[in-house]
This record gives sequence, C-alpha cells and structure tokens, in this order.
Amino acid sequence: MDRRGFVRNLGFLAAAGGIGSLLQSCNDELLPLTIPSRSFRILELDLRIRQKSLEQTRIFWRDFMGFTESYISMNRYQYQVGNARLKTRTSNLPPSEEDFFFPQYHFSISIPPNQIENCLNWFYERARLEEFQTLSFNVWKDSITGAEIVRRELYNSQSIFIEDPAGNIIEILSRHNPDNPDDLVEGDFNPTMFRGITEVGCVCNDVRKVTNTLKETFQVDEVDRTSNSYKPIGGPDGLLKLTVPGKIWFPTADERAVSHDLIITVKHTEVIAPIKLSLYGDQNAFETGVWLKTEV
Amino acid sequence: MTRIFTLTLLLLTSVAFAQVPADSLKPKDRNIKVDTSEYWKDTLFLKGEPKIWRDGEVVRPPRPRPKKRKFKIRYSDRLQYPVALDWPMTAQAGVPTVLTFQKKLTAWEDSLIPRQYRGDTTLKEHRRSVWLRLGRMMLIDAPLETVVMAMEQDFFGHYARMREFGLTGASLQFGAPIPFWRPMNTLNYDVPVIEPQASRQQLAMVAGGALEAGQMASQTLAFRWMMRKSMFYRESLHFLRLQAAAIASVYTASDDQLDRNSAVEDWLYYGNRAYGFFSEYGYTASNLKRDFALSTFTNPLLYSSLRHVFQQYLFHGKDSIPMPAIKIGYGKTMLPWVRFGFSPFGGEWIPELTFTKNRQLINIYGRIGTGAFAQNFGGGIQAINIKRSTNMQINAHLSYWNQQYLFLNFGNQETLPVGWGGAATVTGFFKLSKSWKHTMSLMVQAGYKTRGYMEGEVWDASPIIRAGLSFNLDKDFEQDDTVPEYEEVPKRLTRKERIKAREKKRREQKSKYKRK
Repeated sequence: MDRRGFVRNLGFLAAAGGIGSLLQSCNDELLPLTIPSRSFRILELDLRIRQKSLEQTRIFWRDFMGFTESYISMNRYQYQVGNARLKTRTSNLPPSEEDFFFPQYHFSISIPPNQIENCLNWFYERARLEEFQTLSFNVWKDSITGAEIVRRELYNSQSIFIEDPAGNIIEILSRHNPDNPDDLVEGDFNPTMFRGITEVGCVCNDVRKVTNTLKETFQVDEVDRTSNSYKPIGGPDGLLKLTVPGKIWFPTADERAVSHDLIITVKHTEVIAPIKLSLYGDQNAFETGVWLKTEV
Repeated sequence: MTRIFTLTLLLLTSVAFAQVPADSLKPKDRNIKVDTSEYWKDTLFLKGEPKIWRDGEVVRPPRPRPKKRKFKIRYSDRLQYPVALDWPMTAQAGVPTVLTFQKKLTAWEDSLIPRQYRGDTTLKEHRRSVWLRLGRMMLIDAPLETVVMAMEQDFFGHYARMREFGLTGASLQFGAPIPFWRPMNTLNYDVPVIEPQASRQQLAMVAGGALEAGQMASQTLAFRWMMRKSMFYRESLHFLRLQAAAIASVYTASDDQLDRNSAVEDWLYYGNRAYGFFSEYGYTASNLKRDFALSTFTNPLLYSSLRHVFQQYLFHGKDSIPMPAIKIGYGKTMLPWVRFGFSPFGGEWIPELTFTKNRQLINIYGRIGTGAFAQNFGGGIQAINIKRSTNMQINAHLSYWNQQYLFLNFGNQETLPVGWGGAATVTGFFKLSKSWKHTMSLMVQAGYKTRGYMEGEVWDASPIIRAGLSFNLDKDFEQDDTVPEYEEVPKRLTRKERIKAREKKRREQKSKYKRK
C-alpha cells in the first residue's frame, strides 16, 4: 500500500470510528437511569384526606385493597401496606375549601416484578364486584399512549396508576432489580404481594436545596440525568421524587403537583433506629415549606 | 433449298421426338412428403382469427412457433436457488431454502401433470384446457403452495423465533389446505408455560414470525421477477397464496382477546400487552386493517400476479409472462412497491424501489414505523450481482434503524435499549461444478448486525454467518421466449460512423441480392 492509500484508509477508519462513537453517544440517552443502591426505606406515610372522602377511602384501602386496618384515634386510621404503614387523617382545611383545594398525593406501592398483569387483572376483577360499585376510583391511562400498564424504561419498571376515592395517585410499581433477578413470586395476585411504599412524590419550591440537605443528612445519592425541577433521590427501597409545584403528575394530562402536609418516616439502611423526615408544604402559594427534623 | 428443307425436317423431328423423362418432375427421394395442409392453413389464417365452418366446427389458427434464442448468460447473471444453513435456523436462511424446494417440487409436478388438454388447438380443447388448469390449480397447485407456505411460516417463522429465544410451550395445529384463504396452520400457545418464559414483545415476535416469513418470501420472488424480467406461474401462485393468507388473516382479525385464532390476532394481543394495553387495545384490529390496506393494495406485484394466474395462465395457458415494470433504458427497469412489516414495535410500512440493469439489481427501501407501540424507523440498500463475473456472484445488504427498547423475559422486565443500529452482510456464490444438470455453487454469507429488530434475523447483536449450496434451477434460456436476450449495449456511433455503417450495410445487401 502506498502512502496516499494508507492515509486514505486511515481517514476512512477515523470517520467510521467517529460515526460509531456519535451513534453510541446517541444511544446512551436510552440507557436506564442509575439508581443508587444506598438508600433509605420508607416506613410510614402520613397523609391528609378530606373529610368527605374519608369513609370511602377507608373502604377502598381496607376492603378493596385488602390492607389490615387499625384504629388510632378519631378519624385517624392506619393500614399495613407490606412492610410500611399508611396513616390517614382528616385535612385541616375548612369544608368550604375542601372541594376546591384538597390534598392530593402521589406515592408508589411495590409488587413483585412478574405480577403487574396479574395485579391489574385482580384489580379489575374486584372492581366488578357489586359491593364496590359505589366506590369512586379509577385506573389512570397514560395521557399520551393510552396504556394502562405504563412502562418506564429509564426506571426499568412497569406501573399501574390508580386514583383512589380521595384523589391520590397511587402507583402500583413493579421494578426490575438487576441485582436480584430471582425476585419473583409465582401464582395469582393477592394483597399479600404488596411489598411496601417505595416512592413518594414531594413537592417543594427549591429542589436543589432540599436535595443537598437530604444528601448531607442521609448520605444518599441523587439519580443521575435529572433536572433541578425534578430530582429523585434515594434508591430502590425508598425514592423521594422531589418536584417543583405545578409539575403535571405522570401519567395524567392535567393533575398538577401542589404541596400539602405530608410526613414521611424513613429508615436509613445503615442506621438501625428510625429517622423521621417531615416535609410540610405551604398550602397557600408554593412558598418554601420544607424542613427536616431528624430523630435518632 | 434442299438444305433449308433438310434443316426444317430435322427441327420438326427433334421437336416431335423431344421427350422429357417421366420421373424428372418427381422428387428423387421418394420418402419426402410435402404437407400442403400447412401452407393451406397459413393462407387460411392470414388475419390470425379462428374460422368457423358450416358444420359449426371452429378451427383455431396454428400457434406461431416461439423463437428459440440461444445465447450464453454469465454465471453471475443467473438466478441462485440456495439451500442455506445457520443457527438458530433463521428465516433469512430458511425462507430461500423452502423456495428452492418449491421450485424443484414445481418442476416435478409439471413433468407429471399436463397443463393443457391434448394440443389445445380447437376451441373444444381450449375449453377443456381451461377446466384442466383450473382443476389442477385448485386441487393440486394451490394446496401444495399452502403446504409450502406452512413450512415457511412455521419452521422458519414461528419456530425460528422460538429457537432464538429458547422457548417451549407452543404447538402447531394443522387444518385443511384451503386455497386462497388463511394459512392451514395455527400456533397454539400453552399460556401457563410460555408466558412466564418470555416478554410479551418476544411473544409478539413469535406470532409475527409467520407473517414476517411470508413477507420475506414475497420479496424474494419479487427480486427473482425483476432480475429475470419474467414471472413464472408457480411463483405468481405462491406470491398470491402468501398475500391471500395475509389478507385473510388481517381482515378476519378482531379485538377479542380470549378467542384468538390466527397469528395476526396473537401479534395484536401480545404487541398490545407488551406496551401496557390491557383491557382494550391501543392498536386495534381496525387500525391494522387500515395500515395493511394502504400498503398491500397499492403493491403492483399483487395485481401482476393476479393477472398472471387468473388471466394469462388460466385462460391462455401461459406459464411465463414478462414482468411488468417501468422501463428506464436498454435493459434497465425499475418498480416501486410498498409492503407491510409486522415488527414488535407495531406495524411498519416498507416502501421499496428496485432498479435492475440487465440482471443486476439494487433495492432501496425504507422502514417507517406506524408508531403504534413505539417509534421506529430505518432503511437500507440491497444489491444483487454487484460485479458481473463468470464464476461467482456477489450480493450485499446494508441496513440501519432507530428503535427504542427490546424487552427480555417478562419476569425480570429487563429492557435493552437499541437506539441507532445497523447490519451489513455480504453474500458470495462460487461456482463449484457444471457437470450436474444444474450448476452447483457454494454459498457463503457473512456479516454483522447490532442489537435491534430486523426481518428474519436474530434480534441481539451477533455476527451473521450462513453457508450452503446454491443451484441454478431456471430453464436454459433458449427454451424460454419471455426472457429478453441479454446483449451488450453497442457503442454509440458518431454521425459519420452511422452513415458509413449504413452504406456498408446497403452494399452488403446489394451484393447478396446479386449473388442470389
């Protein structure tokens, strides 16, 4: 091969390599997000429910979903959702404002990875029962595709979104865990397969600031490739999705994130004692209402 | 005076005694017989129209004798009929192999069963020939093509994908080989066994494998026609059978999730399930019918094959007709068509544009996803007989795509991002032996593909290696009048050279005339 030919071939090789690396960089955007393995576990979720929905919500959680209910005090109930607790109490809003500005939360309950279709089937079967015909709940479909089971490749998960009688968006989440591929449960779906509360949407004005506080407090990492208006922090056992007010909750087309009173109790994986994290959103005008209180 | 008298006498006696020998007008060889009826017939049918006698008998004009052309065709210009092997015996290897088998089967059948009644010269015989052909087509040809199609669609459609994914738990159910209706075979899924093994997308690919194999076979036949520039009856029938199966399957499909009877319904069910459409389909049967109609009924090859089978063959007995294509020059043709692909991302339209120059072919195609489940697009270029040669044929295929995600088994819900990807293959046919009836060649295919869905190929990134034997099963060309003669295009002459050539030709003609 003469010198000119050698240079030409070298040029071709460089061009091919350049195109290859360019395509590779394009394809990297499709890679799933790296969710840090070091995280906290959500032990308890304390929600506010409007007064008029309280009874329907009780029937939904206790009878329809099959969670064990225990009475705490007047209008305060506690449900056992897998290894987590879900507490409900009436909102402190005046009844005249409840219809206009009622609390809406977004949280996820995890199930085994192979049970998502069975779970939806179970849900529809129960919804057809006559005793639940008076309940007002709904399966949210993806506002863009119309799918009932929403696959999110970036999170490597599949979800069903349910609107409970109080208007909360509950995500039934089956997440693939590459570290534990045998995490499967065979058989038909039943309520014992609900594993716990793993994700909670937290509305706060300064996402960056709250992220830094949580990172410092719990020594957890944020999920990469996310913006400052939406920042998931935590891991597969407990993921707090910090978002600015006004963001449209996935998968709805018009349900916007609004801050409300919310208490999340989390347990750090490296600390045996539970750590309480309380997030208070301001109900009036999206002002900073986030503070942390740790109790060891 | 005496002299004059003597000469006159001699002249008269010579004239009187001058006798021609009795056998001088007869042919010397007594075995030669001249059939004057042939000349008589020729004069009778000058206009080429049949004559009706007073007793009602119709005499058809004799068929003009086909011109027999003898010419040599280069090895690389011949159509290859490969028998290829690879693992896991993909549709890319299996479908051409089944089509080779079909070609040979057809030749055997033709040697056993006639296509016409006696000489097919009189109207009566012609009518009987039409009934004979119709009966043969409906009772033997079309059922045979149905069986061949089942081989393509099952062993190299459904089962190729099942071998690829290592799935078990499906069985075939065979029905009667009804001509021009749905395939005779149905794949039955043992749901509790197969569903936990594979993702819904993989099961959609298993279901769509049959339709994919059918489309690949149709494309292979179309390439043959374009290269050869003629359509053979059994190829047209096979093409038509494949199209009829697809059309019948699509147009009898419904959104009923519990009662699924065809590969199309399974493809719809698992495709929708893969993308989370549970209680009702996001991409319904009516959507599919619309998309399928837009591609299938605009395909000119469908009408060409219909015309060939039901007009040219059935009524006129022509087993081979010229391929209708757009002529763009001497020996150059082109033809566009669109077909429908059953990809796991939803359907995709595949517009194709094929150019041929003599027997070289270039096919440029695009892949436009309908976006039913996920966005995808792509395209490629396929070239057959790149370098004309006397002892080898080289084909190449380049393809690229942009696709979203492939889902692995359902339990783990593992996803594989695809993004931009591509494949490149080179196929070589090397002449081995001419001693056998059909020239035998060694076929070797090598290439590489990145991760992604491609018709008939495995979906993961892998090298492509196929090997086998290939045969030139087409008839010799002097027997086939529809094949245009291959000639080198003469050099374009200047004006002076043209005048000189014309004069030379004139001189030659004059001298020839004088010699005569």
